[in-house]
Amino acid sequence: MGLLRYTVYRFLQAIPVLIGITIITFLLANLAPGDPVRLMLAGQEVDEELIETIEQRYGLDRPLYERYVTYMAGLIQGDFGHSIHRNRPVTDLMLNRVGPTLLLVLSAYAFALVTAIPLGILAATRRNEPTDHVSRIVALIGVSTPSFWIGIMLILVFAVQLGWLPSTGLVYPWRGPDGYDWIETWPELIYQTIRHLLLPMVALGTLQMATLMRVERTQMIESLQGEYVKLARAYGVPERTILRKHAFQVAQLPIITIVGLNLSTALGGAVLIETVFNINGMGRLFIEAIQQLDYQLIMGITIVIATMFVIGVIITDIAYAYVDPRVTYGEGE
Amino acid sequence: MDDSGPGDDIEVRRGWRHTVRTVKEDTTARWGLYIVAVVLLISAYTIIDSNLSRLTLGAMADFTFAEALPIFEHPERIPGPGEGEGHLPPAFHADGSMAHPLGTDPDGRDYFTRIVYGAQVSVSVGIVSTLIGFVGGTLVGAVAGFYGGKVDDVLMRIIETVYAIPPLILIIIFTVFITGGNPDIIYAVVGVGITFIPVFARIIRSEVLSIREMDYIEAARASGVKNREIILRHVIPNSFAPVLVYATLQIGVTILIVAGLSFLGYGAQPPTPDWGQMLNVSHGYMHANVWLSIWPGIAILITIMGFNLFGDGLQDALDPRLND
Amino acid sequence: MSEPLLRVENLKTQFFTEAGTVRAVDGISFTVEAGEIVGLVGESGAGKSVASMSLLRLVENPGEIVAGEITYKGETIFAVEEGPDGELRERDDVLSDEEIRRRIRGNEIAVIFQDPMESLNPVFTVGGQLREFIELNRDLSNDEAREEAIEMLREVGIPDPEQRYDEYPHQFSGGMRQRVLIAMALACEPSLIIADEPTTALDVTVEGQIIELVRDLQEKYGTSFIWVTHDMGVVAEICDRVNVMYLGEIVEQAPVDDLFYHTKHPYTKALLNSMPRPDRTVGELEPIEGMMPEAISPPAGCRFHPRCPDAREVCQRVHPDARTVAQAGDYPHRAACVVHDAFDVGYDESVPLEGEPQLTAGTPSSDDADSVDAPEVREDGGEDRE
Repeated sequence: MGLLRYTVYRFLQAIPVLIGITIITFLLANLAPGDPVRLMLAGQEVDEELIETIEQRYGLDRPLYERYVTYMAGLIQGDFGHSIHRNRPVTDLMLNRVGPTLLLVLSAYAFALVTAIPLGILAATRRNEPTDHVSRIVALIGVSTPSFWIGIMLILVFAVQLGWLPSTGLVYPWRGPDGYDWIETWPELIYQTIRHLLLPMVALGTLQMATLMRVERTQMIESLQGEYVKLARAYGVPERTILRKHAFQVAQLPIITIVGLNLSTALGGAVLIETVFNINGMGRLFIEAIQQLDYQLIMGITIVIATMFVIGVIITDIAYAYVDPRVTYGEGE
Repeated sequence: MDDSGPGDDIEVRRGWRHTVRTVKEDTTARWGLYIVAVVLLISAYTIIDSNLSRLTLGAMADFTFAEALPIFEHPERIPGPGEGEGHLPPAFHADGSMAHPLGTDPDGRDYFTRIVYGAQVSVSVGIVSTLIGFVGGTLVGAVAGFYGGKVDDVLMRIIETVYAIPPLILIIIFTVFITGGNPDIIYAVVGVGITFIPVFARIIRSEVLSIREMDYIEAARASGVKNREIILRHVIPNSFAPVLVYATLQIGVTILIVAGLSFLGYGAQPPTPDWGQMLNVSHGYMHANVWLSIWPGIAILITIMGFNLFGDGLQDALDPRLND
Repeated sequence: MSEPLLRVENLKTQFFTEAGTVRAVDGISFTVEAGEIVGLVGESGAGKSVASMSLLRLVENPGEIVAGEITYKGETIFAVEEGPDGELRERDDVLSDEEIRRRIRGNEIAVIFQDPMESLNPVFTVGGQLREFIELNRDLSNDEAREEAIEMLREVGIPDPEQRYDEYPHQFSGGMRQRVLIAMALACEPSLIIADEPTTALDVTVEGQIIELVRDLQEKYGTSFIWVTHDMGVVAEICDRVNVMYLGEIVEQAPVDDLFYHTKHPYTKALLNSMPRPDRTVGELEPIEGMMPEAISPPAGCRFHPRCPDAREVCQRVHPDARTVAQAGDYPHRAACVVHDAFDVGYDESVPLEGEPQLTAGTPSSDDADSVDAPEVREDGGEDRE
């Protein structure tokens, strides 16, 4: 099977999972005790007739499976339903919230990879030396610290105490300089984006960095003990080439998998980091929706975030198949 | 070097003894154990203390453990809003006093006491929800791995699906929908536990899959031992060790997630002293009182680090490849 | 006699572990002449692999070559001398690490490892790996190296080499991979190839083919070999001269025919007797009693005496070095056993040790077919002591 066919195959394979996600989300939202309309109107003077009218209008009086089929029919066309609370289509509400979250998560990953891989290799080559111990301690603290607290500490130091970097909001490069009154040129826009992105990126990326660094160290140690490294040494390959090519290539394979699987943690972390830094992404929209008990919106966001994760895993799977010649493109499955 | 004899109960027992020995010798694992022990003791003490005072407040209102060990004033005794001076800085600060080593919160409550009492919530929440995930995951994973075929397919599809939704989001939805918008820590604990069932199930399943093929299981099967008995007597005990290591590390992750939940307001509710919830409150005073945001985070960091160190040590002990 | 291709004098390699110093190689001396195949035989743990890796100065931590002299084509790979303050230091004429890497490893001395499954890097094509090593060790351009690689693949009997050049190791069978490793070694045009148990991981039929291949190619290229093995059968098939190792020492050294027909050391005898032969049934095999002790605490006196059927009281006291006990053509026949006249320590008068030879571990009975393998158990113990 070629790589292209494998890609198609992998996407087809994900369809049951995606359907499963909609079922679980739908069931969670609709089997919960309490009536969405009543909960939404909690505290207000309840008019039974009004409730019935609303329920009829949004089809809430029909049986569960019928509602699910209707929901899915809309979903296929990209329609996530209507937010009763905000009286707007859910798709519209989510559309300009996806960008900030993607920007945040991807930059956090970039930060994590750029720091974790060199540090992990350094630790592996200086095993049991001070460098190794320091990097292990850093990694340990990294996996043990809540990301939102790192965010708070970064704000305290760099925004409150030193005043170097902004503590809230994010400047979106895709809006262009025209989208902001206070920004005039493109370079300025990019500069502002980076300034605003720096703290949340580090806050969200630290956990990923620590995890990847540990994996990188372990994998490099293992790879450096491989017979193929012994062979390369015996044939006079310089130590630097062994490190960069022979040992490195093999050690990166598990990293690819981990990057995909950790996307789940990163997307969950985005909820916290967006809250701490007041970034208007999917995470904050989710918290707003939860606070307003906006069922349609909660369902939409959950499905979109889970889909992001599934797509991320597929992309890393394909990358893995591309790098590792031993993968038989799923024929064995 | 790993002894690879016939995989039998003797093997498992030798493995355990080896594990205990390695943990004793390994400095990181030992430190992890110390930290975990201290945090457990503190939370045990606070649980006893707060329950004891509840029991005795009527008849023996004047005597509690808190008085025997005066640093642990229990929360009921702490001045309520307006009674004490709020926003007191920690003792090492010029304006601080030893009466409140870590200062006071906006309501004038002693921050040190609240931090100490916070251990109770984090640790019990971490352990209980990990246990729920552990037990549930072990059963699901063992069944899926052992029976294989359709059962395995269906269970794995469900697990894969649940896995796709980030735990934090799934738990928030679960607690909020179940409680109809009035979140409570108990639902958070159950939610976290259920969410982690797939994680444990995956690991158990892969362990079971490798054990299932071993000769002694084949032999047990061939000699007519019932499936249920094989799962309970052979498969689960043998796949136990790696999962236990994972559970230790998972306690850290759980505490991390529950802290996040409480920070967002969907875990412990005030006035319960919980680290995540305290950070939620202090977030609003970031400019007024820096210290309030620092201590709960450090408490979380140390606790999770303890479990992680201990788990790492256990893992090294069970995987001799990396620590020779 | 002119200077041999490789001369090893009193080589000692030790591993400094927490449990103590492991004397993996403890004062061995041997030579390799141009164009001959020299065997290095012994049970696992005898120090064969460590000895052969020492020749390339590729001993892994915490191991270290501590004494002796290795000369190759007149150049010094390793030597120590006594400094002014009596401390040992490396001699000035010893090749630097950089020189060893550039000039010796690969292009002068190449290796073939035991496990063809693990020796090739799984993420690079077979051809790419071959070409890299050729480029590095011979002054060839990219294209020339590629051509050479394909030529070598054909030479070692890989069908359709142009196509297989671009395939990955997992697409090759074990025997084919070992052929690739042989091609790799020969393609660098070295004068000496160290073959470290190259056929141990293979099927018997494949083993035969590989040995045949090496014999043909050796004749064609005139390359010398050091053939590390535990298998006396392979030794008989391929080696010109043999060194038998036991616990870090060479206990017998002789041309192959003399070793087999005029065996001078009880350990070699025991090795030969434990080898299955077509003219004997399994029941007649005599496994070597006991297990080889650990090199961390070798027995006093002769290291083989606890397992030796001919051990006498004197063997517990005297530690024999390998001495010439007979002449075999151009070469001396050396053995490290006090039974020979070259050792005048009173063996004949000494009292035989009481009862059965002492067993250090396990009690294999001599009619148990399984224990034929006794000398081969734990087949990696010797190399993994790191």
